[in-house]
Amino acid sequence: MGKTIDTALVVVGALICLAFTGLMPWAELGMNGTFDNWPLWLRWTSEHTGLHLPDYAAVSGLGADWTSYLQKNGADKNLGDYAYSLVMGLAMIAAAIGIAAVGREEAEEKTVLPVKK
Amino acid sequence: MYSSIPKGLTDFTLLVEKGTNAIVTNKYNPFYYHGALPQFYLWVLYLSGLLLFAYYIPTIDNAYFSENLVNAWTSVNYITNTIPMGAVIRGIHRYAGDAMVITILLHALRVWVTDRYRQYRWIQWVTGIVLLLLVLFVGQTGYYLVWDERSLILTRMTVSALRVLPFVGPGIAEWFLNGTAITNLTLSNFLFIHIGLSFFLLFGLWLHYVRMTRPVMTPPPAINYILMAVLLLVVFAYPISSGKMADINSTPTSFDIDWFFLFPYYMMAHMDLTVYWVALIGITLAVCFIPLPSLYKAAAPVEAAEVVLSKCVGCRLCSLDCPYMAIEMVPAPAGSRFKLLATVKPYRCSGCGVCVGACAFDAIDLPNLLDSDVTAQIKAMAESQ
Repeated sequence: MGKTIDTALVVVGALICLAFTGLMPWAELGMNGTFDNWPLWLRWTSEHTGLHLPDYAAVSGLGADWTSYLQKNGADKNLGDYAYSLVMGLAMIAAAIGIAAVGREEAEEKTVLPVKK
Repeated sequence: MYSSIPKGLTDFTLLVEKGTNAIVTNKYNPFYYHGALPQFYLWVLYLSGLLLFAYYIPTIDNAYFSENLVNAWTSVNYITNTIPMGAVIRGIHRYAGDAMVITILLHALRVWVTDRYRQYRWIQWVTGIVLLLLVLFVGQTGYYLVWDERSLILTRMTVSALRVLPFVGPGIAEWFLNGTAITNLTLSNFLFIHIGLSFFLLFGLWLHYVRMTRPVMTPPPAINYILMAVLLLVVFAYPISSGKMADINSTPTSFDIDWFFLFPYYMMAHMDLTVYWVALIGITLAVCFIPLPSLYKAAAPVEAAEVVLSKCVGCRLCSLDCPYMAIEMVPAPAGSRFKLLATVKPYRCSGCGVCVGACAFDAIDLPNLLDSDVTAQIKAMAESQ
């Protein structure tokens, strides 16, 4: 049972890593989700395979929401940097959960008592 | 009635910690690293501050507000709007300072609630209060450095408050301004205080740790990641921006207040300055004197533990277990079977007896409470049952 949970955690962790890796370049481009701003490999994949990727207009809309939120709170430039910090923060939480999940087994303290002569 | 408040808080704290242990285990319980959390934020402040320092220019010139004007405000704006990730680093620096104040206060609260300030821990308590005051002052100088209208108001309020102090006030105000008026030298002075005093904190931390055995100074990596993540999420949610550039020919009258660092200015604005100083100094002294009653209630003068050199094998258990860093391992004399011998520093020994319990070889004892006496007392109590 424990191994099943560990395996599930590894799979979920890997998917989260992939998601954050995909979000980073999007954040660096100022959260603009138009097709021209997609990473080159993703555009090639969408154009040359039968894999039609989800409509990025919805993501563009999300970008617009984030943009207006940040501007309302005082940011006026380099909005992608803030989105980058959000994604990095979420990645760190995932990393912390991963470390804690791995470290749970080592949580018990072991005390070594000296033998009296 | 007073004792029921910390006792109630202690019970509540322990209950919350027990619940937290059930979720994250004791290895990752943040309550057990309450002293290490502000230390972590201090390292974040040093690193982010170093990056900001690389681009900061400590001048106040704003003559004619020319297009190519270069001063503290424009350099901070340059960092925020032009340098890649500059806005994020600035946000990390600001919010790490706020987080440090929050974690210091939580640390102090837990120390008070769990009675860790009594007797020989008074040094940690008093140095901790002094360190908190230094952190608050360093943070305030950080607000001066932006050199927007808020900075100008804060500088003028500080000078007014300093001038009120008897005898030394005008001199300190002149030192603070690095002259008799606000000039470029003033901002250089602020930068020197901000950086110099923040490194002085390390010396204060050494005093804070010196009589503690194995102080926990670093949380485990998982907690560090979560602390940084919280910072980054706050930076995303509440980006930092500067106010209007300060003009020393103008007289701005209001500013947004950061309650973590700037609450003294709220007090200055709403009370007489003499009352302000009396309140500030009085509250500080009162808090520093909290351990005082426990010092007076201490037992008769302590006789330090003594090592029986013929039995000591240099295993280090007493030195490792001593809570007050009072036992040092020194090289054994030539011809000894063992490499190390324990020696007690009598000025640090509190007579707690932990070393006696730690030793497996009957090689250390309290002269006024021998092992054999304790054994006899326990035997007598058991037989009387």
